[in-house]
Amino acid sequence: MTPAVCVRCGTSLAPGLLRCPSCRVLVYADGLAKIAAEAEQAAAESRLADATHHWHVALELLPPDAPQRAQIDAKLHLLGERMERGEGGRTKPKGPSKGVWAGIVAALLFLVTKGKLLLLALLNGGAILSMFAFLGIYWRAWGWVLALGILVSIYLHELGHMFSLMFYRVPVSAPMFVPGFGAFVRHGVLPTPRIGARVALAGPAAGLGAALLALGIGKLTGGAYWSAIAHFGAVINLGNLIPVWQLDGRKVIAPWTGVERILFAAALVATAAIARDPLTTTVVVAALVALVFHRNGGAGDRRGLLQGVAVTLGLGVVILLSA
Amino acid sequence: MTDTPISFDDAPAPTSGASCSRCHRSLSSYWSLDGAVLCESCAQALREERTSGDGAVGRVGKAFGLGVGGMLVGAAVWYAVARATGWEIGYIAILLGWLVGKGIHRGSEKRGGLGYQVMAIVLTYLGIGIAKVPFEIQAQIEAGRQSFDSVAVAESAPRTESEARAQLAELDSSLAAGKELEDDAQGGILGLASAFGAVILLALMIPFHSIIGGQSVIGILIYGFAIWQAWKVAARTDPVLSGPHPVAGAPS
Repeated sequence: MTPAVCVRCGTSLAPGLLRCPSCRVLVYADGLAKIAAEAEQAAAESRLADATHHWHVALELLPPDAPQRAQIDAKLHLLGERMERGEGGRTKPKGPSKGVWAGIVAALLFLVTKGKLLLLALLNGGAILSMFAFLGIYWRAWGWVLALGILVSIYLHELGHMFSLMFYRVPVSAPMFVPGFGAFVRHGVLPTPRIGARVALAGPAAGLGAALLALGIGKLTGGAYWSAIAHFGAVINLGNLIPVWQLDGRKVIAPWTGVERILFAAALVATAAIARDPLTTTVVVAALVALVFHRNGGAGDRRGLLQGVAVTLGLGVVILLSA
Repeated sequence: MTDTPISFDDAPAPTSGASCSRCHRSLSSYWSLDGAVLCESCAQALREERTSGDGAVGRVGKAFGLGVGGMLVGAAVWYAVARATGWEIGYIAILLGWLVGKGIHRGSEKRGGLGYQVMAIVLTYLGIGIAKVPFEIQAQIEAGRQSFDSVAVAESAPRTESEARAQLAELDSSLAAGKELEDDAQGGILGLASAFGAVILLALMIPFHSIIGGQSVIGILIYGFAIWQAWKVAARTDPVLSGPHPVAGAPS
């Protein structure tokens, strides 16, 4: 709520104003100082996600021309670098460092730590309901076998996002399924576009892994069902890389320069050529059209570009082999 | 530099006093319209521009025109993708709804409102149906051909005259449903109007038929999302006006 009067000059303040129209001081100067102190405290205690959240709240209370915005962006950039180094993040497994026992301990610790991630969605009532609704609707349309395969494929995609967010210690919800569209997870704010890109790409990367697994099983067993799941999974994950609206592609390309985006466009064209599939070609055309509307490049992220290109081309190969 | 605490205590401006952001006149009290600082006359003038009923007919016409444009573009994209891939993709339904809603909202000079939202729903529903009309016509023609083929195969089997007449009547009906539009289009202006009316009627019926027939729950959800998107985008946006707010220290 906007204060009633400016604490500096006493001018009455209209709702929503961020700067006093008379003396031009910040309306929320005192509150901003408190928020900044909380953010610095959280950063000092390695609660990097909390610090990120506080700085984002501060940005909302600053007018667009405030010089403090650039200073906060620099703080967020530092937080992002610390998150990428894994600070305040992963817990290292304890136990013997070599030998067979080390392998057993590591596997058990993996199940205890990462394994619970696989069950995370099942602990949330809303997520369970959405999952069963999704399964029921597709079961009716396509049969339970294909419906279950699609559900698992999408679930693994969302697990990719969740795993990435948990690595950065950012709060994340269980996935919610939406029949006809897919699924989504809600999460806390991210400090930099580069981390946003990492998190966004983790979904299609996990989807690629799931599609490869299904493809492998299909080749080994000769089951057409598995090839169909691989094909469907690869196509929807490629579709997620279209840089529009809420799709992952929009965040994936956010930190890229103009040149990096052109290189990604070339990778998309190569994917269409590899896949030789009408739906893939349609997706690639949509992605290329959408890229035209994203002309303002970012600071650059070569590693992210390489990962994005690898995932895209990999999906194209899966589509080809599962046709 | 990045470790330096940030200061939010900006120095007050050397010359205090508010001025209107539109006419730049000094103010002893100001009004705020959507965050802009204005004098009373500028605020009232802007508010009048955005809420007056003058030009309503023009706005409705422009909203309808832009909404129809959005509908046709969205329907074309839906048809093209469905034709190329055999898939009905939910995100394109959202695109269609967004295009319709955006066109209507822009045509209404960013006012929006219940009437415009109803227009958005109707055009979005119609857009989905129009995209499916070519497939429906093709299905009718195919059904007619299959009936003809089944009649040809059954001709060698002994049957009564009444059975033969019934099969031929069914064949005529199926072929007529598919061919009617083509014949009408070849019949001049009256034919074109008749064909246009038939297309609109078909477009209105197809989604309804899918819903009542319970053929696809996913399809119903897709229609729902498209319509919800159009409804949301065409919603009313009222200007937020507050004032007068006195400026401290200014001569009244």
